[in-house]
Formats: sequence, structure tokens, C-alpha cells
Amino acid sequence: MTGERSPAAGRRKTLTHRITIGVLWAILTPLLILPLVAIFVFAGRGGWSSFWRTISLPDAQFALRLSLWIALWTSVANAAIGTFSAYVLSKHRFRGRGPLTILVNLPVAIPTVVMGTSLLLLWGPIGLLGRYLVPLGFRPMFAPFGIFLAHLLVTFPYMLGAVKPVLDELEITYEEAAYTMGAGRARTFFYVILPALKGGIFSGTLLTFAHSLGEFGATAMVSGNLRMKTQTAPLFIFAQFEAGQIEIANAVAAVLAVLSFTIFVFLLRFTRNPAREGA
Amino acid sequence: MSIVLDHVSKWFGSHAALDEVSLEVSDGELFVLLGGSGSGKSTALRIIAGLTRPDDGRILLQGTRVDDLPPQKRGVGFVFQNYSLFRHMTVGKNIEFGMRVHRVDERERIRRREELLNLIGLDGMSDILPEHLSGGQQQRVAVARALAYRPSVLLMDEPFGALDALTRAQIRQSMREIQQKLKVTTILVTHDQEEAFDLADRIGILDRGHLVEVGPPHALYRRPKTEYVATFLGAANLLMGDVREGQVQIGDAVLTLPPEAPQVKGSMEVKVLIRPEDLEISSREGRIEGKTLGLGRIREKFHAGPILRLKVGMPSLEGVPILRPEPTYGQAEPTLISHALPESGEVASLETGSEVLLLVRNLHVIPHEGISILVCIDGSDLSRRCLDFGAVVASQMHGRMVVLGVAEKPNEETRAREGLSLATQLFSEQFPNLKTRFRTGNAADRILQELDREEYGMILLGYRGRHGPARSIGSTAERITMLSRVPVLILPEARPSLRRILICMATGASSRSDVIFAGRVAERVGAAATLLHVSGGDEAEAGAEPADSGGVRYHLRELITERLVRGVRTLKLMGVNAQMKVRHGLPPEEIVEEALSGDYDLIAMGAPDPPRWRGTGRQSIIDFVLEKARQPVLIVPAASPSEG
Repeated sequence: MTGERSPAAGRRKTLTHRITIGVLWAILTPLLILPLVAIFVFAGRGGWSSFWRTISLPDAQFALRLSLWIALWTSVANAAIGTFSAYVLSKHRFRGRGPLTILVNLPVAIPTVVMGTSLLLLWGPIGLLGRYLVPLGFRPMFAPFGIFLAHLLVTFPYMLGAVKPVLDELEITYEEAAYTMGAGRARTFFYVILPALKGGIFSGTLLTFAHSLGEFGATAMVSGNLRMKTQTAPLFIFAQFEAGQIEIANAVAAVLAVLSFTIFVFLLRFTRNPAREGA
Repeated sequence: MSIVLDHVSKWFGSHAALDEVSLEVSDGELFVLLGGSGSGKSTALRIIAGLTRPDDGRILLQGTRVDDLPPQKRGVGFVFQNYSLFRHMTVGKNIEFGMRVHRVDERERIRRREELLNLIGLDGMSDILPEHLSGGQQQRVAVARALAYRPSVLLMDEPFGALDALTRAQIRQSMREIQQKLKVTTILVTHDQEEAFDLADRIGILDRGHLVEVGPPHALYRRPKTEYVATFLGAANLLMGDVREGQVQIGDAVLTLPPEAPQVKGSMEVKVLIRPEDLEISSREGRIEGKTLGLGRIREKFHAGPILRLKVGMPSLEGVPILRPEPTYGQAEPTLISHALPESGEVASLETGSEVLLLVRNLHVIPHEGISILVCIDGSDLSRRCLDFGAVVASQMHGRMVVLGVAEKPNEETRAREGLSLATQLFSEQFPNLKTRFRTGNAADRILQELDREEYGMILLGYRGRHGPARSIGSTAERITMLSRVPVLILPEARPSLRRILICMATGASSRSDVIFAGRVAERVGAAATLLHVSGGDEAEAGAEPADSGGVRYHLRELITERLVRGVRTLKLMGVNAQMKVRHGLPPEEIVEEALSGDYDLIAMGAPDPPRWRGTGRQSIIDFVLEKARQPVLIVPAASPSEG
């Protein structure tokens, strides 16, 4: 195709090319781009000072901080549990492996509100376990720990989905080579397998972080939406919107959008494999 | 002994990946395990390394039993086919990994690393990541990594498999040098004969989990003990002959036996191996006593790399069973192959079609054990019939008999065992090497398993007749016929002897192996063969006169006749008294008609294609024939093993 091309053919090509690109823009602009722009337009309406003022409200501050903390811990916990699960599901053959693989991916398919409800029905005051544990003082629901649990549940498939394919591609001989050289299981895992999973774990963690930051459905169910106690940033935005405080809602939304955007830029730039959703 | 395997077995389900393999490899030896895919060679290697657990047997490394040791404690170096270099580590780190694990101090580590890099010719490449190396370089790094911590043995699984031909040849040489320099005991697994011959001190040949033969490459090639090795290694002419007083007779030719051949009193049937390079083509004059095979004609001649390959037609060998090169259907005359150097003047000048004299420069004989027949019984009333007919076939074919008793349910055990003791009682005198085996479980599974364990030429199953709604010959026979490469003889009623064989060409897959195998049986037992073709009903309606039928139909008839004539010719070449017959009508009915009127002792058919077994709603031809003709039916799969 690098040979001489007639100018006419070139022009035709350019024309169809331009039309195609134009159509794409025409579709995506109202669908994706304008909504994002709208947030910033509304957030910035009152100028920088009003933006800062809204953001510095104690409620807003708390909500953002809580969201960041939850996202951080969810990511850390998920990196460990998700990698471990991916390893076991990928490298071990055991009874129930097939159903389990489907099960751990279910949270992607089930509405997050339902996931939240399921947690309530387990840990809540009238839940299966909750009815015995709550009287003993273990009260995970309507507390930050409950939100953490919910986020872990909801984001679990993203971590698994990022790590397991890498592990599946890693031939069994990769670790066997280490075994024959005398390395035990732990050493092999930490020195041979883990480094090979670096990319997968990194992108899985970022995905988890981003999802946790924006999680709404399950959080709404388990948190109780208590101001300055369990109100995460998305819940805060929704509450403010409902209360007619559109400017406050928009400011926090803009912050969330910027954070998520930054994470995705990272994700795209620093991972070789594009992020895979679901395992 | 550095490595000892003692009766090591490994089963995957009912399939034996390794069956009682015993092997000893001496210090510093480079031993090559050679075998096709699925022969169990990689499993053997993994078992030695401790990556796979054997089901039975012992493994000793440097005199120590290691069966219960994990791979970490065995001190072996393993080179994988895909190298499995750690991709996030540099070449140097990869090589040092084993030494780090073994807590070798840093100075020694670096010294050893540099030494190995020098040895594999990659000096100064310590800091490169493996992905930046070529395939050949990665392979050498994998070897260096496996050798770094001075393992007592080195195991290599198809180490050159992923390389292109040129690189492979170079690497092979440097590998041999490294191995000799370090004197590390090595087992290398490969499917590549050239590689095995190039590298090995000794070769072990694996076939479907059995270690068939072990020996130095040259001895295995020149003096194989088994037909399998004779035909597996290189090209071969393999003919049946008789040894008598220091001479071997093949057809009319009498050749002198080499001094190292087994000396026998009286006469003995043997397989004669003549490597193509030992079959010398000479001008018509020049007979040498004890070396002349006879006159032939050059049929094909072509340059195959550095050698000249010739196919020579040998009319004088008509009637001599030729196992290799495998006879093709309808070939005009027995054919042998000869290799010559193109420069050897006389051969180069000979044209296709010219008459030549064939001299045997060297030959080797393999004792002929005869066909091994697996007679399957369950101890029921059928068993006696099966045993009787099995004995008829085995004795007429000068073969052996193995009786397999299978009990599907616990309460059938006594019965099956009684059947086996009956077999011993009746036939141990006639067959001194009669073997009996007892198994419990699904009959088809156990029989197929037994086929995996030993080389059989034929399976014999009883036929009980149709029962219940079944429209087929019974699930056991059906499964075995579909899955086995060994011909299956299904027996409704025994016959006193094998004198007349009917070979049906109308049924089954298009393969010719049915004619060839049935022909071999006929030749062995001295039976007469009738080749039957049944042409379809509509054709029969058209009448027998060619003038009545259209040109197409006439052409079809020509084709059929041509096929039959070729079949009869094939049989005659094998030394069988053969005739042909054409019948018109529906194949099942006509076959039964012919079978009854001709009073045959055996009806041979090709195995039907799997879809023909079921789903048509009609009874299968085989079932119909068994039911109506009550004569033994021999079902030959499309590709069946050669058997003399």
C-alpha cells in the first residue's frame, strides 16, 4: 500500500475518512463529552472563589476524604485478595472451580443496589449473621467498614479480571522452572510470579480505586447515608442535588471527575495491556 | 548410575502414559529418549524432575531414592521446551537465580555466571532482558540457568523444538560440547531422529508408554531387536524370510546371514531388514553368491537431498510378504527402496524402466513372533466359542494368544476367572506362552487399556446376538471397533478352521487396509480369498448388459471392475489364491447370500465411518451380516498396524 496512489483515490479515501470521523464525533459529543463539560461549566459558574468555598465545606471535605480513604483501602485489600484468588483459580484444579469462577465475577452482572441489599441481609441488624453479631457489638452496616465491605464486593471482579488473564497466560513451566532450581512455593510466588503480574495488579488496583471512588448503589444501601459519618462523595453529590444545592453538588462532582480522569490517564499510560473488565 | 528408573508407571485415567519403564543412565552420559507425540517421553522427564508423581515404581538419582522428594530437593536442572526464562529478570539474574536459592555467595555467583555466559558464547550480555535475545540465545540461557547451581543431572524437554532448522543444527553442536566439557549426566527428550543420532551416547525408544529398546544409535539402526524400531528409525525394507543353516531365504533368493545374526538349528521364520543404503543396484551381470536378491526394474528415481532414492519393482518377490515399504493397493509388483549416492556412476546413468540386479550388501534379521491375538471373554457360555476359535486362528497363523477375562460387575468375577482357568486348562499345552489376564470394570475400557499396553494384531470378541432394542452389535464391540487401530474379529459361532475368506469391498470407509490385512491373514493361514463387490440395487435393475445402461453407468462398472482386478492383483502379490465376484442388489442381503452360499470361515470388512453406526435408524450392515450369516466377521479399521 506504500506504492504510488492516484490523487483521486487519495482524495476519495480522505473524504470517507473525514465523514467517518465526523459521524463518530457527532455521536460522542452529546453522549459523552458534553455531559462532562457541563459539570465543569456549572462547577465553575461562580468562579474559583465560590468553587473553593463549596469544596471547603466540612460536609464536602468529609465526603471526599471518606471516599478517598475507602477507595485506598479497598484497592489495597483487593490487590491482595484478588491476586490470591486469581492465582488459586488459575493454577489449582479443584472441585467447584468452575462455579466459583462464575460466582466471583457475578458482581459485575448484578446491580450494585442488589449487592448492597445482600450485604444488609447478611450483616444488618435483622440479617442472617447480623442478628447474632449486632447484639454483640459487631455492627458493620451503616459504618465506614460496611462501605468498605460493599466496595470490596463490588470491585472484586475488576481486580480478578486484570490479574487472572496474565496468570492464565503464564505457562505452568514458569514456576516449575523455579521449583527445579530449588525455590520453594513462597519464594517462587514472590520472586518469580508476582513480578510478572506487576502490570495486571497495577491496572487492577487503579480500576478498583476508580470504581470505589464513584460507587453509588451498594454504598447507598449499606452506609445509611449519615452526614459526616458515612456519607461518601457520590452520596453527598446526590443529597446536595436533591436539596437543590446544585452548585455544591457540581463542585464535588467536578473533583471526582478530575480524580477519575487522572486515574484513567495513568491506567492507559502505564499499563501495557489495556484494562480488561471482568475476568 | 546417575539416573535409575525402576518399573515406573504413570496412568492418566485409563490410559498408561508410562508402563513399567525401567532405565539406567550412567554418569556423564547423554541419553536421548526418542518417541512420537503421546509416547510418554515428556512424562518420564517430569517424573524424574519430580514435577509429576508416578503411580508406581522407584526413581534413584545418584543412588538415592527420590520418589518422595519435591522437585526442589532433587538437584536436577530442567530445560523446558519454551525455556520459561523469567521475563522480568536480566540474563544474569536468570542464571544466578538457582545459585541465590542455594545461597551461593556473591563473588562465586558472579564468577560462575561469567563462566557460563562465556561457555554459551554470550559474554557481556548479562544485563539484557531475555525478550531482547534471539530464540537460539534464549535457549542457551535456559541451559546455562539450569546448569548454574551444578545439578547432578540435566533434563531437557525438546530443547531445540522451537528453533529453526539452521539454528537447531548449530545449537545442537554447541550443546554437545558443553555437555562433554561439564560431563553432566543428561537426558534429552525429542521426537527428532536426526537430533537423537547427532547427540546421543545411547537412545531409548518410547512407544505409547513402553520403552521398546535401548542402545547406541548405530546399533539401534543396524541391529534393532523389534520391528517397531526397525521401521521407526530411518527407511527400511522389511520382508519375511526363513533362516536355515547360516542362510536366509526370501522367496527364491538365498542370502548369507551376517555372523552376528542369531544362529538357529532347523529353520525359523524371520523378518529381514535391509536398509535402503544396503540394497545395491548393479548391472545385470555381476551376481554374487549369497548377496543376490534378484532382478528388478527401476520404477522411480528421484534426488532426495544428498542421496538418490530409487524404487525398484521386484517381480521375483511375488508372494513374499513385504512389511516395508508398505504395499500400496493394486500395485503391479513387489517394490523395494534403494538409496545410492548420485555420483556413483553406474546408478546415475540408469533410467527408469531399466532392468537391474539387486545385491544385498548387509542385512539384519528379527525373529518373527507371529501375530498376537487378544481373546476377550467374560466367562459366559460364549467364552468357550471364543477360546476355540481364537486357538484356531492363532495356531493357523503361527501366532500367540492372550486371554483377557473381564468382569463388569463384582458378581461376575468368579465366572470370568473360571473362564480364564478353562483357557489355561485347554490351551496351555498347545500354546506354551499363553497368557491370561483378569480385569474388572467396563469391558470396552479394559480392552482398550490392554491394547495400549501391548502390541496386538487382532482382537476377538464373542457375539451374543441382538438383545433388547439394540440395533447394533453391542456397545462393547461398537466402541472397540470405533476406537481401536487393531482389527476386531466378532464371533457368533466358531469355525473348525480358516479355509475360505470373504472380503467385502462394498462396505466401510474407502480405505484399502481391509483388503491388505485380510490378505495377510489369508496368506498366513493358506486360505483362499474371495473379493466381493455388491453394486447397488438400481444398477441391478438396469440389467447386466452394458449396452442397456447409459455411458455413466458403464463407466462406473468399469471402475468397479478395475478396483476388483487391482484388489485381486494385490492379494496375488501377497501369495494369496484370490478370485473376485460381483453381485447386484442391496449390500447387506447380497453379502449374507454370498456368505451362506460360499460357506466362508471369515468375512472381512472395513470399519464403517462412525456416522454409519448409528442414527440411520437402520441396522448396521455388520450387525445384519452377523445375525443372518452367523459367520465370524473381521472388522478392519482404516489404518491398521502391519502384521506379517
